[in-house]
Amino acid sequence: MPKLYVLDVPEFQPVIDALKSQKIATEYKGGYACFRSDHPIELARPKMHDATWFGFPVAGIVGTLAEHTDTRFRLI
Amino acid sequence: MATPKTNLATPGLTGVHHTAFPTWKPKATVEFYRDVMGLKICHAITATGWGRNTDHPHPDFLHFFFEAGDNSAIAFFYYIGTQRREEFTQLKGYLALSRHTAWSVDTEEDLVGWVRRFRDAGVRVTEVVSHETLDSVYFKDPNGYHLEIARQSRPLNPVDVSDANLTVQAMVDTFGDDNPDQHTLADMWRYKAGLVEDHLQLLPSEA
Repeated sequence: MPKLYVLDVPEFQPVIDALKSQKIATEYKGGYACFRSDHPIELARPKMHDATWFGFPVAGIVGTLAEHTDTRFRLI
Repeated sequence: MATPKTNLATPGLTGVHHTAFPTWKPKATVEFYRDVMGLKICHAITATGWGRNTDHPHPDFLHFFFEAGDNSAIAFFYYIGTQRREEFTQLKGYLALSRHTAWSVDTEEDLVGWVRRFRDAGVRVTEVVSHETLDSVYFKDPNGYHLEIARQSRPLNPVDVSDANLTVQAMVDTFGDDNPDQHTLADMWRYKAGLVEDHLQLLPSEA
């Protein structure tokens, strides 16, 4: 069951919005958005600068980072 | 978590007084910082070498400073008669980019103004690059030193600070020194998730 923490700050909002649009279970606490799923958490790159796209998992992951390319992110 | 190495209180710091670098191009350095950037020379000293009679002779030198705002300066040592040491000036790739001086500006107007000024003077400078909480422009001085001018694009809040401390703790715990277990960034992110979960459990429940 992969889990992804994202710091709830403006620069990571595109990731939060994209994951919320997928109806992934979301919990907010302490300045973090936590997404958990029974399936891989997958994300096509929203409009983001490199620094934020390649750095958004900094808040923490649970699972295996299967893909994090210029265009896609997949946590299994 | 953090374990202080001393019980003495941390004395105050009031910002950067100066950073200093060696130069073998004093003329070009002055022309860049004074004439291109328009920084004021605020201090300069000269000295015959110190410790000439020791096993480590010291060349005669000049040490000169340019004002860089808010009582900070950038300074250079010119060691007379020494050969240029390229390990100081010719780093390539990401290592070269990692060692740099970044000055701050308060406004987007100032940041763009610096780009215009450099381009008008024929200095190569990047467009404005947006990072997490910084907008920056990058350029090099005649010595090859990498420089940055940055604007904080939003104030850092307590959550940023708390998360930064957890990230740094995750880095220390994951990689130690020299990364003996050859961990990856994904390993650190996994470890960080545990720190975040521990941190959140200590917070009161949100309504």
